[in-house]
Amino acid sequence: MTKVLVVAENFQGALSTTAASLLKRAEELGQTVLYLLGELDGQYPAGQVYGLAGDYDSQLAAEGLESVVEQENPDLILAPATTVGNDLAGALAASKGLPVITEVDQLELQDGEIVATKTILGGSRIATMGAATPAVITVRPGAYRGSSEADAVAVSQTLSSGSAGKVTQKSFEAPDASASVALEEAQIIVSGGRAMQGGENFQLLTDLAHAFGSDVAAVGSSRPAADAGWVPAQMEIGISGKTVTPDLYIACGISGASQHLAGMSGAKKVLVINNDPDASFFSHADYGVEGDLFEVVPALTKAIQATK
Amino acid sequence: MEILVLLKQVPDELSDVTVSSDLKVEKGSAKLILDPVGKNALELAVSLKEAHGGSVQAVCVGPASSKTILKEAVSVGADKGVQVVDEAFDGSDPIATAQAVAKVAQKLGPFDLIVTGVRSYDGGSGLVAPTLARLVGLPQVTAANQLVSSTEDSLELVQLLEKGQRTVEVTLPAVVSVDEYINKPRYASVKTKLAANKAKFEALSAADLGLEPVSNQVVVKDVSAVPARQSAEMISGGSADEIAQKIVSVLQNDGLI
Repeated sequence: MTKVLVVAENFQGALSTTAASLLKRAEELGQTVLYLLGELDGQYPAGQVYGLAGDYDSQLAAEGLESVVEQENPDLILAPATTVGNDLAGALAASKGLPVITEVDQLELQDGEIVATKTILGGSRIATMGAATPAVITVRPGAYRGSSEADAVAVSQTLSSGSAGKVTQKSFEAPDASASVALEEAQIIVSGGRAMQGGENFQLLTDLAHAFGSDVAAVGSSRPAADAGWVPAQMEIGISGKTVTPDLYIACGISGASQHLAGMSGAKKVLVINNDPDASFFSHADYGVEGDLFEVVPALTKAIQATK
Repeated sequence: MEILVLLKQVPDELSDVTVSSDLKVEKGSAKLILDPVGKNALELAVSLKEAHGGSVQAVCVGPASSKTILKEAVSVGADKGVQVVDEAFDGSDPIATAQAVAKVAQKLGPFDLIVTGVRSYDGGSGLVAPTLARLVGLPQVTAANQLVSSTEDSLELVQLLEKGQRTVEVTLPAVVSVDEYINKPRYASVKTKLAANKAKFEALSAADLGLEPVSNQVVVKDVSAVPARQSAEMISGGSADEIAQKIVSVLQNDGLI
């Protein structure tokens, strides 16, 4: 039977939505083993759980992963395509000489071969890639949804770091607890661009996202808005920011540069609100409103609230 | 501080890039530029050199034409540049690139810091820095978004994680990858551009580095265009409230709300 090792971080006492959905996908593909980083309390829906406690240090975490791979000989090693997941995928591929594919949107096993699809060249093309097992794959957050309902087990083997780390965490800043769902996991994204004119005006977008529901909707931005310091860099969607695949993407005052489209071309439906009839985004959208976002967005917030 | 910065030449407009029938990416008519995030890596390297002394060497793995990005590096403060040019690296495979840079680091080093962009504009695998760190056995901080402080033997950086961000101190030597928010890259002056134009760069082959030809373990089976969206169906007429009502109906029809 196929054995799938999933790498995940425990974030403030629980698996992230991304890790949970990855574990579910792993379970569909075969027998699961979890390699957990961070806090090791709690129970997790996997066949077996290895854990490495402590703040993340890429070298120590990679050594731990290598030892789990040596003990378990998995056919497939899956990690979320995040800072930590990509770090460990690269390190493992280098040390074990394994094939590696990052930022995958879809993953199948066909006759013992891994077949993965991902967007390449700035979201303009979809590539299908193949690799023999064992292989290392990082999966884009949001590519899979849901979580496993398998029996949960505690960490059965705690790994210890053989050496002191060279990376020391001085402080950690958690995302605002009152903030909405992560962009990568959001079903609806309300995004603002240069025409927002300032950071304070993003409140209009937050209000609209909250009207949809903070568990499904999040606020993003284009590069110019993040560059201007109106919103944190983590909110940027595009080639130098995040790649997102919501069911609905509402672009407010964003011109539609190819660098921005690269980050959201996978959205199912796109609504563009812009007062510039020549905004190129109108040519890459399902619905368009040529109008003042400062009037249309609050009106839409009210109309959505009225449906609840 | 001895610093190696890894740069990449990328197409300015990815829409100008074509994919041939045998599934090779062809840069064709695309204008080739220094990877935008590479400018941030370079800026970090040069500013650390200015603060702590030492030198900055730039390396790129790619076709002979990529010499232009080394000139650009020198024009904004890199001391030297070296090219790795070999057909073996034509596919821009991130693992092969990391292997080559690891050898370059060995040959030209030791370095206190190896810095690069978190992911390239065109390839975007995000794999080169972590693979390289493992190959050279150094600690790494990937996706650094802010330099808080630096000494001759450590850097304090803000790193973006899946959720939240953290401040870390990394002991040098180390590998660091940066995003486009870490700094504002400086511009070259006419004078430094002219001077950089005269710079000569060593070109190394895979054999010079003692590298075996790399067998690509990942096979591209198919490349297709992302289905293009048509022009938007415009929703118009009436007041903002009326337009909002029409939007709600459309979204309800699509089952989105």
